[in-house]
Amino acid sequence: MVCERKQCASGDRTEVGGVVTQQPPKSKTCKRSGCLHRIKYVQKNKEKDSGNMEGAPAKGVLSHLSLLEVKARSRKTQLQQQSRVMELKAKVEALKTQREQLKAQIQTHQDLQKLRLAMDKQCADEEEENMEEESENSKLLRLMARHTQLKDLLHAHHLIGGYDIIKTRKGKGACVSIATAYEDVFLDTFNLEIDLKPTVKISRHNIPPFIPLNNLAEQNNMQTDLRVFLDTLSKHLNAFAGRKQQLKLVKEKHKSVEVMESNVLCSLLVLLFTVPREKTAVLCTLDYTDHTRCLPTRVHLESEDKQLPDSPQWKKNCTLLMETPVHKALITMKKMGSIA
Amino acid sequence: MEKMSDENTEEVKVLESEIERLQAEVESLQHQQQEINKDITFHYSQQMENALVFMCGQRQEGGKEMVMSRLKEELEELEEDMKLQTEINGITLNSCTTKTLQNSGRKLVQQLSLSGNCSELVFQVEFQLSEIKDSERSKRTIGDLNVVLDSSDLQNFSSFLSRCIFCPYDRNLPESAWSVSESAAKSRSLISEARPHLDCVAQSEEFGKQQMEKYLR
Repeated sequence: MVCERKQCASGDRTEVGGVVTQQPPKSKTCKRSGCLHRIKYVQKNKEKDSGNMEGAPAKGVLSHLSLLEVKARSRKTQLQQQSRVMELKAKVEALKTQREQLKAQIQTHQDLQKLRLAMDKQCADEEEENMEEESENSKLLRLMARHTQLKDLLHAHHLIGGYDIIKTRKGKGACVSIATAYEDVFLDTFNLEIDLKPTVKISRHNIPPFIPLNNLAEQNNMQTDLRVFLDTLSKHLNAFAGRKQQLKLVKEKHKSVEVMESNVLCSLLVLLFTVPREKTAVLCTLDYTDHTRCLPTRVHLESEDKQLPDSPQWKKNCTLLMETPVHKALITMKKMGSIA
Repeated sequence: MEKMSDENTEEVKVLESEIERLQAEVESLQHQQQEINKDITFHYSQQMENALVFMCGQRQEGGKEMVMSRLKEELEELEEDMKLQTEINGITLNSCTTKTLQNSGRKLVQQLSLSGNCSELVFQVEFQLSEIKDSERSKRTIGDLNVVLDSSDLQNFSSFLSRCIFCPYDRNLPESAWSVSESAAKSRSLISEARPHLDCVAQSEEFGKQQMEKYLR
C-alpha cells in the first residue's frame, strides 16, 4: 500500500517472508513528515474482486516488483537529497573561503593605510623613523606603504608643473615635458628630447616656431644648467599659453567686442569697442612686448571722438587694461558702462 | 528510510539558511572593499599586486624572499625617479595625501595636501583637482587653493600669491564677488598671519618663488 501522493515515496507495507501482507495502516495518514496525505486502505479482497484473476504467487510477484520500484524510487530521491546536501556543503565551504579572503584583503588594505598615514606624518614633520624590531610581515607592509607614498609623490611632482624628466638611452638622453596652465586650468603640454652626451643639445621638440628656442638655449647656458634653461622656456611657454587663453576667452565671452588683429604669438591684440548710447568706436591696441608676461606693456587707444582717450574714465580703463588680464578688464569696463 | 529523508530535509534547510547568511556577509565585505578601492588612485604594479596577495595569506612561487626582493627592486627605481624629479624641479616634496571626493565615470575630484620645501622655504599646499573627461581630451582644473608658508616669507610672494588667489574658481563669478570667494578669504588670512613674521628674502628664495609661480599659474 503506497501513499498515493506522487512525491511521497513512503511505503506502508510490511514484508513477511517474501510475501507482502497488506496491513491496514495504524493511522489513516501517511507517516512521512510533511505529507498529510490520507492513505486509502484498499483491501486485498477488493482488489481481487476488481478483476484480478491471477493466482496468489503472481500477485506476490507484482507487489514485490512494486515494492522494488518504490525502493528504487526512494533510493533515487535519497541519492538526490544526499547529492544536494553535498552540493550545498560545498557551496558553504566556497563562501566561507571567499569571506575569509575578503576579510584578509580588507585587513591588509587597512593596515597599509594606517602605516601610510603614520609615514606621511613622519615625513611631513621630518621626524626620524622609528626603527624598532619588526616582524617579517610588517617589513613587507612598510615596503608597500613606501611604494604607495612614492607613487603619490611622483604624481604630485607632475601636478605642480614639474618637468617629468625621463632618462633615456642609459643616461645619454632625457625627455622633459613642460606643462602650461592659466588661472585654474591646465593647458597644453610641450615636450623636448634632449641629448646629454657628448654635449647637451635638443634633438626633438614640439615647441611652436615663434618661441625662440635656440636663442633661449644659448642665453641660458643650457649646457651648464639645464634647469635654468627649462625654467626660462617654461616662462615663455606659460605666458604664451596665458595670452592665448585670454584671447580665447575674449572671443567667447565678449561678443560685442571685435578682435581686429592678433598674431600667433599673441603678443599683439587690437580690439574694437563700441561706446554705448553714442555708439562711438574705440580702437584699442595691446602690446605684449615682454613675452614672459601675460599682461601688456603698452595700451593705446584711438577713437573718432578725439577727446575720449583723455577722459578720466578712459584713462582709468587704460590703467585697468595694463594691470588686469584683458578678459577680466572687459567685464569691469562693461559694468562701468564704458563699452557695450 | 523516512527518518533519513527527514534528516536530509532538515540538513538541507540548515545549509540553505547558512548559505543565505554567508552570501549576505560576502556582499557586505565586497561593498566594504569597493569603498576602500575608491580611494586608491593608481593601479597597483605587478610587484605590489604580488605583495598584496602574499599578505592575504596566499603562497606564491619563490615565497616571501622573492616577493620582497622584487618589490625592493621596484622601490629603488621609484626612489631614483624621485631624485631625478626633485633635482630638475628644484622642489623637495615630503608628503602628498590624496582624498577622492568624487569618482564617477567622467568626473574625478580629489583633494590634495602637499608639504615640502624649496631651498629654505618650507611650505604646505592644499588644493582641489578636478578632471573632466570628454570624448577627445580631459580638462584639469585647480580650485580651493590654500598655501601655508614658513615664517621666512617674502612680501613679493604674498602679493603675487594674492594676485593668483584673486582668480575665482568659478570663472563666471563677477569681479565684485571675488572678495567674498571663500578660498580667497581663507588664503588672505593666512598671508596676513605670516606677515608679522616676514624677514628679508635670500636670493635663493627667488628661485623658490619661480617654482611656486609655475605651479600657481
